[in-house]
This record gives sequence, structure tokens and C-alpha cells, in this order.
Amino acid sequence: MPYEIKSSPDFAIIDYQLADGESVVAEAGAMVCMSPGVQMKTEARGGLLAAAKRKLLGGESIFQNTFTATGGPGRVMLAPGAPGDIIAFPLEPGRSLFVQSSAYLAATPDVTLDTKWGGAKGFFSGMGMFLLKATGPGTVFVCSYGGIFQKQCVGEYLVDTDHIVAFADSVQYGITKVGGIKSLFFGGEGLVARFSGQGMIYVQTRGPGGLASFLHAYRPVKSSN
Amino acid sequence: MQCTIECNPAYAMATVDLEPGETVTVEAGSMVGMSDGMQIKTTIGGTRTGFFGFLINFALAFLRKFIGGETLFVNAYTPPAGQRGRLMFAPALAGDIIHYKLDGQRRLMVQGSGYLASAGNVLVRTKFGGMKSLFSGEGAFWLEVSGTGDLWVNCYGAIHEIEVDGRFIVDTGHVLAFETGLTYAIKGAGGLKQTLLSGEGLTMHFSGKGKLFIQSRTVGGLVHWIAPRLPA
Amino acid sequence: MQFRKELGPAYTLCICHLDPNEQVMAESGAMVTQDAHVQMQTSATQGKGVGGFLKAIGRSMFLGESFFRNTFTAVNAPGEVSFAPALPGDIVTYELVPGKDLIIQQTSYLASTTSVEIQTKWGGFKSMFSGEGAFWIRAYGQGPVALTAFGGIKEVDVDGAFVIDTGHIVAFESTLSYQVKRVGSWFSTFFSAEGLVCRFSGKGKLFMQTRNPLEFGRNVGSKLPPRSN
Repeated sequence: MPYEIKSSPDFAIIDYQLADGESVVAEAGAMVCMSPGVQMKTEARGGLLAAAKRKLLGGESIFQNTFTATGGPGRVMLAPGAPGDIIAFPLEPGRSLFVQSSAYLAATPDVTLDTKWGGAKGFFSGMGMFLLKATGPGTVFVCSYGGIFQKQCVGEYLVDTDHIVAFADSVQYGITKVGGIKSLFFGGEGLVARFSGQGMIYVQTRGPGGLASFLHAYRPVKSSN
Repeated sequence: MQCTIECNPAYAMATVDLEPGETVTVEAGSMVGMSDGMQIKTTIGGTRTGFFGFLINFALAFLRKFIGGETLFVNAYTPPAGQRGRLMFAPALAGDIIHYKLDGQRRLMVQGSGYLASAGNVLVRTKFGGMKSLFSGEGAFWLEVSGTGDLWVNCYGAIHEIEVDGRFIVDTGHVLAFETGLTYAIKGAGGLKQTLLSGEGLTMHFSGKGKLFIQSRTVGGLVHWIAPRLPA
Repeated sequence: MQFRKELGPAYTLCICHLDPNEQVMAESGAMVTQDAHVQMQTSATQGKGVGGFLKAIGRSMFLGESFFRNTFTAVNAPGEVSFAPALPGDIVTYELVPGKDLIIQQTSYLASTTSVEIQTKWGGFKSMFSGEGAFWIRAYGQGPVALTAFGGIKEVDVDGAFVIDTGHIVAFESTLSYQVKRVGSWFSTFFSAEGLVCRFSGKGKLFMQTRNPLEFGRNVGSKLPPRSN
């Protein structure tokens, strides 16, 4: 296997050994280190329009970096910004994995990435996240904030939207409120995803929204001048 | 002095048991717990002595604080006279603690935010990373550590050791420490477009032969990841 | 009702298994996953009815703290619900017995069985730690309570005296006496950034966390984009 996931599950990092001419594509800012023969090319992945869709919704960087080993084999190590784990998903041709946008870290160049979002009543409405659809062949690398909890969906299952990492294309999903109106405003649970059908759901054991709420109080205050 | 490190690798905390008269110096703010009656002396970190030495130490500490974000002060803990004592300390961020024994031969360059504690005759000299680093905020200053004694270094994330023999390129924020047999140059990630758009920031191009220690997370990465989720 | 821990010790998840129609109470916002037939209800911890509810809102808005807890019931069938805190770290469960209370730093409380009572209004202790932004609750009764830590959890059996930085306290048994003091001299406190420490004495268990949320918040917070209020 050309890659190894190290220091899992605490602060996972991908150690990728590229054969001469082989490439891996990663989100902007993911490169930790690389051997000198590896070339980095920055481009808007999937064309400018698809990239613009992602930028508009997520505030994420439009650009991705393609790392290619030239003049011999090369090594590149990739890591996300969040503390947590990384899982590699080899995908069968035509099979897809839905990935929460900030959970997408890297992929082999043959993976097709598409943006999918549901508008106002969308999956992560107002949370600056959206769903990415990764279709095989190829391998996609997914990262988490916290550990990754795998749940085989049989029947109905509810997951707090802040904690969703990825789920198989065989699973159906929808958005629902938990509890009554009182719960929505004071219960702190907000929107949850309702999964049904058969397939694997990947849940992260910490939610970025929770961390953002905690850190908000420590931010410098904008001075009015 | 006895030292144990627990809750590693994710949230390591060091516990040092001191014999009477022994002292351990730790970064201000890192004390977790201690036995009753420990004596504390607060000083500005620095190795120069005398009045002008003090001014230089202060100036360097001041620069470290405002450029590197490191605290100015270190606290020296000693048990009460004739008694043993225990000190527990940990860094502010998640990650591991590495305990190095310096034997007078090893010389290590440690990223500024990596210094946690030291004991014995350890010499810590501040070195600035050059103009490019000052602007990026990462790798702004380095500590050249030598002498004999103990050194505790904290990393953000997990630590990975790389044997460099030739050339190797590392994102600046991910460099924790390296042996002084290696030299480096700081560069952008490629052309101007690359540096701005790739999100990679500055990289250190190492050459030579020696050990390099990288940490698998950076504060810059954490900030970049959480910023879109923050309310206005 | 049983608490089970998974994916520890760095990002521990607390999974609660409920028998048919059994209940568990948890901090608001803590739910991660649940079986669809588990029902959630929000309740204020102070008093019952509209009066209690309004009083509760008033307090919450004034203090800026979220003290609402949610009750989860597995309706007519066994069910599972999982909980996690906002910050990364470990989880520990403590079995409460009548007569020995547990004093918990509010953000470290995760969940408990309904036979455990939580007292949130407790002025004496609060004033000792004023300025640090920590609120304390008292848990008493019988049954398990799940506590969270920022970082790793270390259990210390105090027998004599032990000094701990206040930001590292998760919970402690009420059999311990405590005294808040400053570290070293005035100069030390002002410059040493150690803040307040708590000197525990007597005999009892103390739970500590290996990271300080205040230090982490200051360290990272100062590097975040500014906010408008």
C-alpha cells in the first residue's frame, strides 16, 4: 500500500510514498513535509464553477494541491487542521461516499468529487458546511475532529449534524428537529440528521460547533474606530 | 529527580519528583499540581547574567512574547528546605511531552512554542528565524538548547522523527526541533501564486545529515479549520 | 442504565444504554447519536412550571451559562444514546453514594441517572473562584454520573495536602477541605501567569484534567479573527 496512516487516532497523519509519476490531491494547507522531488501544483479542482460553488457555501479554500513525484519516487505527509483521526476509503467504481465538506482531506486523482447541497432546508444549513460526493474508482481520505465511531445503520438513527463525518450512498437521510420548540432554542440540540436504510455511518466524537462556541469568548473584540 | 509522563500521547502531563535542593524551571502557566509548600521564583527566561544581561534577556523575552506569542516568564520550583517535592506540569495545547537528557554533546534547535521545562545546566539561547518568519508568525523564533541536564519539549499533535540525509522540505509550523547538523532555508511554497493560494505558507528546506522532529498539527491549521465556524 | 466509554482516552464518547422506559439526564448540546425511538425533553433545573421556567431563563441570560439539561427516555424498547462534550479529552464515571457528595466544575458535567440530584445554585463556592469564570455544581444522591475532562483524567487520592491550579479541577469529593490562594508572592502571581490555585486538605478523591481550558482559550483565541461584540 502506498500510504500509511500514522499516530491514529489522536493526531493522525498520512505518510504517502509516491511512485515516480504518481499523484495525490489534497486540500489547501494539508502538506506537512515532502521529499525534494515532489512537485506541488495548485489549481481549482473540478473547474472554476464547481470550486466557486464550494467557496460560496463553505468559506473554504477553492484550491487544491496536486503532489506528483518526479524524477523518482517521492514522499509526502498530509495532515488536517483539526485534532483527530484519518480513515482511507477505497471506493468501487461507481460507488460513492457522502463526506461532510471539512472532513474531506485528500484523494487519489481518479476520484470524482461533486458538491451536493440542499438549499435552505439543507443538510447543514447555516453552519458553513455542505456535503461532498466522492465517487470511485480511487481512494478518498477523510479526517475527523475527535475519534471516528462507525455505526451500521439498520432502521432509524439520529445523529447531531455537527458530528457527521461521512456515510455510504446506500443510506437515506433527512433533517429533523429533536424535541419541541423549547428544545430547539434551549435544549442546545438544534437540528439532527435522521438516517434510515442500510449502510455505514461515520460519526466523529467531537463537534466543531462546540469548539467554536467555546473559543468565541476568547476572540479579540473588534475595535470600533 | 524522577520523571514520569502520563496521558500521552494526546494530553501528556509530566510529574517530576524532586530531591531536597533540586530545582525544575517550567514555562509560566504550565503548572498543574504540586505538593504542599513548594517555593516558586519567577524569572525571565534567558541565560545572560548581570544588569545588561538582564536587559537583553528582557528585550528578547519581550520580542518572543509579541512576535512568537510565547510567555515572557518562567517559574523555578524548589521543594521546601530539606524536603522532597512533586511538581506536575503540562502545556496549553494538546499533544505529547518529550523528555531529553542533554549530555553536553547534543545541541538541539527547538521551535519557540516547544519549550516546556528544563533542569540542570541547560543553556537556552533565543535565535530569530529571519524576516520572512516574522511575517508568517510561524517559526518566528527558535531556541538553541545545549548543556547538561534535562529538557522537556511539548509538541502539538504527535511527534514523528525523520532521518534527513540530503534534502527535505517541511511546512514551518510543523517543525518541532532538529539537530544542529542540519541547515535550512525558508522559502514560500513555490511561485507567488502558489504561496498565496496553496494555503501552505512558508516552508523550511533542510539539507545535511541529522534528525528532524515534526509535529502532526499546528495552531495555524487549527485556526484555519475552526474560523469558518465562528459566529460573526 | 449503563454508561459505556468508547474511543478513549483522547476523544472519548459516552454511550448510555437504557432499558425500556428508563431515563438519563445530560447537559444540553451533549447528544451525538441516538436511536430514533428515544425521546428528548428539556427541563430547567430550578423549580417546576412557568414560574420556574422564567426564573431559569432569567438566570441563564444573566450569567451567560447554559444550564438546561435534557432528559432522554427509551420509549417502550431498549435504546442507546451517546454523549460528548465540546472539548477533546477523556470521560470518567463516578458512582455517587448517599452522604458523600461530588462537587463538579460545571462544564465537566456530562450526564447522570435520574436518581442523582444536581444543585446549581451554590453561592459560597462560586465566590471563591470569582473572576475565573468557573461555575460549580453539587451532585448528590445515588447512581452514576459521567464527568468530562479537557485532556486526560488523573485521579488523585488526597491524604494530607495537595495544591492544584484551579483550571485543572474536574471534580472533588465533599470530604475534602479547600482553600483558594495565590501562588508565591504578589510578583509571582502577577507575572507567573499561574492565577489561582486551590489547596485541598483532608482525605478524599480529586479528579484533575491535564489541560486547562482557560490557557487553551487564551492561546488559540488570540489568534482567531476578531468578533463584533
